[in-house]
Amino acid sequence: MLSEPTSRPTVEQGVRLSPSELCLPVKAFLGHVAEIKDKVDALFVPRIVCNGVAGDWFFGCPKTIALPDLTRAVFDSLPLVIEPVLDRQILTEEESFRNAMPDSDHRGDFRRALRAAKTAASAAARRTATDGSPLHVFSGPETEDRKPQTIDRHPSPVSRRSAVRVGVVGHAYLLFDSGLSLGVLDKVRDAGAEPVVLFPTDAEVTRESRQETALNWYYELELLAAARQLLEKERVDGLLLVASFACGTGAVTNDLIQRSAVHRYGVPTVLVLLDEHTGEAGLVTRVESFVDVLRLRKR
Amino acid sequence: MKAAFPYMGTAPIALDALLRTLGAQVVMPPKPTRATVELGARLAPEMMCVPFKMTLGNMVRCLEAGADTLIYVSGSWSCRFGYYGRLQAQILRDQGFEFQMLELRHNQVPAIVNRIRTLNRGRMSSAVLNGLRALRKGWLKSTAVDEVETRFRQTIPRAVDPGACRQLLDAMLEEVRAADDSSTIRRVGGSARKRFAALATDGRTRALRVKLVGESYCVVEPFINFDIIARMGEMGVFVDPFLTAHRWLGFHGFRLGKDEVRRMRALSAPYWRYCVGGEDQNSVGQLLLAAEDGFDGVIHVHPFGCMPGTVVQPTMARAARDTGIAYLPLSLDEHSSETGVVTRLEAFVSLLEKRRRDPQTRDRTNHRGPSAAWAAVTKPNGTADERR
Repeated sequence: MLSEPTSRPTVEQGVRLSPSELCLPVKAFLGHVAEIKDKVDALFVPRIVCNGVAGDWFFGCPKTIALPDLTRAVFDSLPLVIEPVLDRQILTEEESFRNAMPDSDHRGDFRRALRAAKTAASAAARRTATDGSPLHVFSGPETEDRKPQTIDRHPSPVSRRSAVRVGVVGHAYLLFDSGLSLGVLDKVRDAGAEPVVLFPTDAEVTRESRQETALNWYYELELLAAARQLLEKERVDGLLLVASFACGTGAVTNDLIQRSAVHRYGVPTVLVLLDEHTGEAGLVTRVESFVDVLRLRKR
Repeated sequence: MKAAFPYMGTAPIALDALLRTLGAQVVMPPKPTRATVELGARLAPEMMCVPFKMTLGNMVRCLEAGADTLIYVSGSWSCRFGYYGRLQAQILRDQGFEFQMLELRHNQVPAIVNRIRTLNRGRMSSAVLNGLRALRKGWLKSTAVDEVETRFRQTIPRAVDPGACRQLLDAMLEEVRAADDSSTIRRVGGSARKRFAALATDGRTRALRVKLVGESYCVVEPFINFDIIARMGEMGVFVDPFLTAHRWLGFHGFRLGKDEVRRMRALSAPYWRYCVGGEDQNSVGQLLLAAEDGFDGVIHVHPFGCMPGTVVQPTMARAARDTGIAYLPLSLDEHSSETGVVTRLEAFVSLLEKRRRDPQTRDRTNHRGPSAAWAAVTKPNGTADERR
């Protein structure tokens, strides 16, 4: 059972529950937990600690690592929490899931479940790359009589030479959750430009991990790889960085990306910070003026 | 080599001695001021945490004073602290400064040894000898500073004239800094007890006791925490920081106190399973320990936007509720106003006084231990032990 797509009340409930300094996605997460916790028997909250890339360890941000502890601290009553600890430094994937199973009766099934999940995950990753959006994940499984409808699959506009192309860099959980990002990708389209979002392949992430500027956070490594591709291969006209207010890792990543975009590639950038107070009109104005600047430069 | 390092509480006294004995010239970092912080905030990314901004501003001042090598502690974990050195070096180079960066981390040991050798004209034997002497002297000074500060913390809540107590602290720290040979350093440290005991006290025996926990820099650096230890001392409250400059050098510099780390991990385990940085595990563990030891309250300080510091907040609050100890979180940054912080401290102190006078207030709070949600949790699978 999935919680409903992020709505205004979801965010507001999360804001009420969490300390004010947390970032928007975590607040929204708590809102989702509040909405769903009394309807289910168990909650699945993985603790995603680290990921191995090319012989080195790359970590999640502190907030994602501490998510299960945070959830338990915030709510007085919770259903059973299934908390696989994904820390490949000390546990294999199989151990992580086996330890997380609540009782021994279910332990036999977890291997098959894990295999099925892995197959589904790699299929989803392929589809995300072709769709240019991970939203298909939420559209339910594909069956004979029910083809999943694609959400937000905008065909790229006819690539005219004159069209302004804006590379958009931001965490997928923010960019593609229109309840949080206020549909920033649509705003770019409405302003008459083509938004380009890239999902770096494993090879690209590995290459990025060898760079001098590599960061030890896995998600940030993906953003750095995406930004590099946008600047070098796609040769976008400008970079739109989307981050959440109080995103700690973003402060480091966005600074690195902006520095290299401006100094090395001469590409203008703009950073949009989102929080629960962000107004749609303000966002539109900023996106429009950025696209205008890029259009003027192109002429 | 003209070496410099960012300012942090009283740690520079020991570091200065250590580097001088190694044969380096030292540019002593100037004490942080409003202007330094604002300078750092202007150069740093907007959403960066305040220790980054303060140390950055401080580094600019050191470079302006002629330093050519910046020494920095660094690490790689999920907290931003691991990137301070690299990012700051980039920002400073963009500003046109030329310098070398000496990162103190495990994989840099050969480079560090090499630098020490160069300082000793390439002779390894004298480098090793000087290295040992330097460590010994640094340690002696750090211990003496710790002794002085401990006596100060114990005396000021009861002092008739807190100003005199502060003056004595400054004077004694200066004596430790100026002392050159081991016996003088030891003598100054040893005299602290008597000299603080000589100050007039008001005879009160049971001062309010507050534990100070939170992110290292905010706990150790008085400029950023508005000198919380002395200020609460003036209000008649004994503040016991879980970390001091001396212990920071031992903890992080040399990884001492492993037993204590293990103890904190065991204590905090019902609430906090994974250490993510910012002294989160220590803070939760110390809060529980303080409740056990009969402290009146706990203050948690963290930089605004600190990732571990923010995400641990609800857990701290729950642990405080479960144990019935008073708890005040303070989020600090370059915009924090002194008046705002002092007002909150005063309110906190009145609360503690009221709870002391009327023990029922305390007993009415909820002593129910970890809530039901925690009991239903599946057993933790694996710990971060191996990482340490």
